[in-house]
Amino acid sequence: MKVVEADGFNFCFTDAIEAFIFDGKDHGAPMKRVDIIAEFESAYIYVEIKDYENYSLQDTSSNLKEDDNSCQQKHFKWLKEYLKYKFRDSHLYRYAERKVDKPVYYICLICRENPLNSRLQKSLKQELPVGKASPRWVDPLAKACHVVNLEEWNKNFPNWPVTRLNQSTERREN
Amino acid sequence: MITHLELKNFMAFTDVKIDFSPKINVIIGKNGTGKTHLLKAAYFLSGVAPLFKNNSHISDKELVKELASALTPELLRLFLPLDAKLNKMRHHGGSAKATLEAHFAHDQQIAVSFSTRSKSLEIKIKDRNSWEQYQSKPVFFPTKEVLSFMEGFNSLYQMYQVSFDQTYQDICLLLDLPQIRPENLHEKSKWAMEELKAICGGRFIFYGGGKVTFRTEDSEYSANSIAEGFRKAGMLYRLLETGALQPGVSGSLLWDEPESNMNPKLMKSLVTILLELSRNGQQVILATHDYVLLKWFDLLMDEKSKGDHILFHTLYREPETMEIRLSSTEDYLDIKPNPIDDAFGDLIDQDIEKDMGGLGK
Repeated sequence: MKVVEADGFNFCFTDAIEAFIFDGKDHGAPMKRVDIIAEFESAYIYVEIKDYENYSLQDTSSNLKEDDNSCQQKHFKWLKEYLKYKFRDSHLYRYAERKVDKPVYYICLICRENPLNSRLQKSLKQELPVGKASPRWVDPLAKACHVVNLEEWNKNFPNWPVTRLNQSTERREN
Repeated sequence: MITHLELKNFMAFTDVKIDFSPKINVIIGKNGTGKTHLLKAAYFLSGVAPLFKNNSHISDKELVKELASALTPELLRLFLPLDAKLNKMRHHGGSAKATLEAHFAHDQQIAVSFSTRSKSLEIKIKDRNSWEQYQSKPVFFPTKEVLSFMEGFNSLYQMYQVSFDQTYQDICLLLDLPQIRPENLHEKSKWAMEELKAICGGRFIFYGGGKVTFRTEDSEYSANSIAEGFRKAGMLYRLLETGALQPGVSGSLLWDEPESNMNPKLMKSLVTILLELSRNGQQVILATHDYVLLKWFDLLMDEKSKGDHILFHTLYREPETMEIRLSSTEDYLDIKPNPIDDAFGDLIDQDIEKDMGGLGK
C-alpha cells in the first residue's frame, strides 16, 4: 500500500507499485505538474486536487467572486486551462523520464458540486484530448479523464480511499 | 397566498405538513411520492376564497353547507378517484378521517375532511370576514400543454366524462378569457410577455371557444404545428395577457413539471421570468424532476439585492415505514434526499466504470 498526503488529503493506493507527490519538489524544469502520480501494474494515474471547500487552499488566477456569474464563467475557463496544461506538461515531463509506457488516466479531485464537475470533465475530455485525437497517433495521451468530488472518488475507487486531513497538514511523501 | 398545508390520511400521505415561501417553492421527489397530489391539494384549498363572495348574507351553518356542496364534486373532479368516491381518496390501511387543511396569508384557515362513509366533505373555516375580503384565484398549470386540444374542449368536458382532471378545464377557461385592459396589465407581465414572445418567435392568438393560432411577423399557423415547448410558453404568455396571472393580484401559481416538453435551453429564461414575477408579489409553487430547472433557481436567485426567497421541498419515503415525509430547506446544497442530483451521480458512476474498468476497485 502506498500512502500519499497532498493538499489536505490522504490517499491510500492499496494496489499501487509506486505513488508519489509529483508537484512537491523542484524538479528543475519550468513545467506545470499534477499533484500526484501513482503507478499500477497496468496503468499510471495522474491526480490533480482542487479543494473548493477550503478557500485558503484555493489557487485562483485572480480575485474572483463566486456570486458573480461572469466571474464564475471566467473561473471555469481558467480552471479548465489550468487542469489541461497541468496534464500536458506532466505528460511531457514523464515522456522525458521514459515513464509513459502504460496507459495514463487523469483524475481531478475537485471538491464541489457534481454536475458542474461534469461540465468541466466534458471540456477536458475534448481538449486534453482523451483517446486518439488523430489517425496518425499510435497511442492516446490520456486513456480517460474524470473529474470527481470526494464522495464520488471514494464511491468509485474503493481501493484508493481518500480522506480529508486537517487544514494545517503539510505535504509529505511516504 | 397559501402559507401552510397539512394532509392527513389523504391519497399517498399519512401525515405531511408543509410551510410555503411567499415567493418561490420548488418541490422535488421520486415518482409516487405525491408531488402532484400536494400541488392539487394546495390548489383545491386555495380556490375556496371565491366561494365566499356571494354568500355574505347567509349564516355560518348555511355557508359551510354551501361550501361542502360546491367543494365535494370539485375535489372528486380534481383527483378522479376510483368510482368517483371520496372514500377512495383516503390513505390505505387506516380508519382515521382524511383531512386537508390550509392556512393563508391573511390568517384564513380551512380544513376539509371525510371518513369511510362520507358522501360529502366536512368543512371547518376560521375568520370568515377575512375570507370575504380575499378573493384571489390560484392558477394550476398542468403537466401537459392544452393549446393543441383546446378548441371545443370545454364543451366536451362539461358534457362527457373524459379522462382529464379538473385542472385541464380550469386552465382552458382561464386561457379563453379576454385580454386584460392594457392599463391593468402589470409592467412585469408586459416584460415577461415580450420575453416569451422572443423565445417562441411569435405569439399565440386566442379567438375564443378554444381556437388558437400562432402568428409570426409575416404568417399565421395552426397552433398544432408549433413545438410543444413553445405551446407551453404560449400558455404562460396568455395567462399574463388575460390577467389570470397578475403579480400582486392573482393567487398562487401552481405548476406541475414546467420542464415537460421544454428544451433545457429554455429553462434559464423561464426561471428568470418566474423569479421576476415572484419579486413582484406572485407566489410560485412548482414540482419538478429537472436538474436544469432546479439549478437555475439556485444560480439566479438573488437574496441580497433582490430579496429573493426560495424553499426547496423534498418528498421522500421513509425507508422503515415507507410513509411519505417532507423536508424543506432554503439552501440548495442541503436538499436531502435529492433524487435529481442522485440521478446525475449515477450517470457519473457509470461513465467512470466504462472508462476505468477495474482500476481502483
